[in-house]
Amino acid sequence: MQLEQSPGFDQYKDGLPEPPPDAEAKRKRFRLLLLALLLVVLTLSALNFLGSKSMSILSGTGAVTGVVVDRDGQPFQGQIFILGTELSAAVDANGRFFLDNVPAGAQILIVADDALGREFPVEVIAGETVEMGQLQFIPTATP
Amino acid sequence: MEKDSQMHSQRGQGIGEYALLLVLVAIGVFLLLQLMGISIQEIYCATLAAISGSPVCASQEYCGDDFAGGLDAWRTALGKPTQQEGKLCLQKDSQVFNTCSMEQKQSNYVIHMEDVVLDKGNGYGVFFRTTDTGKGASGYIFQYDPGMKYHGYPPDGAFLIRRWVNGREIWKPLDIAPIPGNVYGTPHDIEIIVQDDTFTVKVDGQQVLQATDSIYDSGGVGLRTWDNTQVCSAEYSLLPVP
Repeated sequence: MQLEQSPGFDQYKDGLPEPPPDAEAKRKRFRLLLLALLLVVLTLSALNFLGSKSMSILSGTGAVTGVVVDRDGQPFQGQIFILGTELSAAVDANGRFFLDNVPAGAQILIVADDALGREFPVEVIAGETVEMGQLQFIPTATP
Repeated sequence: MEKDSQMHSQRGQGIGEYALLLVLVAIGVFLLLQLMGISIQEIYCATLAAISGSPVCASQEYCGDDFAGGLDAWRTALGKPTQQEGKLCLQKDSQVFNTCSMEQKQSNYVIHMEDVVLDKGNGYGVFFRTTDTGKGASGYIFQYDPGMKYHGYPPDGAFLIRRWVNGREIWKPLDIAPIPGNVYGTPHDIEIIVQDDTFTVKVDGQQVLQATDSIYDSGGVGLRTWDNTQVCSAEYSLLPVP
């Protein structure tokens, strides 16, 4: 730079010019933004996982038991299913059933004959056996 | 020189950090959409449709059959389906499953049955999101069910949607509504829109049922008749949700 092109003192009569932006502070802000985004992504991942079937596996399993009777209160020998799973069990001659390895949480137990099933909601507790009591199976009049 | 190099390296953000920012935003948006039950394919199709002014994605059929070339596209689980005058006909106790849809195991789709004529009997059903293992069908079914006139829905019976578990129909239905008439001998177009956990049934373009359920998230299409039913259909197609 030529001496003639150098700024004179009169250019600084209102004070010194603004310092250049602090690059380090900008970097810190950017990294904070990245960290915040990472936290959002982790939270969303956790929420997705909580609603997945894998979560129900992690939350453990329990067992359900009970007695199935027909319209007249007599033992009913049918089949037991848990809706949305492959689990099934047969009801014995006394109407009693026992089903193990049921995923913990709200489940729907199906009592069925050869053609029709009825739903019974049950809250399965991990590591415990839930006694459902007496379940009445009435083959509903359907075509 | 070294100081100058150090100062140079501290200026602004590196390209890696910008890339990380973009990746995190993309993952965040994907997870948010997934949480809200919105598929990226649907957004892509909706965006393309908005730009082009026509339903781009909806033009590709997943499966279809006009029944002209026989019934090879259907696997019989029960009964004896027949081909009559280029139509698929089921009678009495029958169950058939569309092989193409059962193999694809799609989640969201539209089932279209063209000119379905019920000549007699207690009704017919269209399975959706159904798998058929050795234990029997599990999934959902729409029933065109005049037989329900004997069970609380006189004089013409009812439309209904219900679950099936291991070959058993489950009481009670997820949704049920009376049939408004013209039960026998009249051709009807049946459309079942299966999207996420909502199922909508239209008969001749009019919505008759809507149910929500999240037990079964994918599966194929089948047809069912029972008792003394005789029913025929001219065409079947399985389309993406528009």
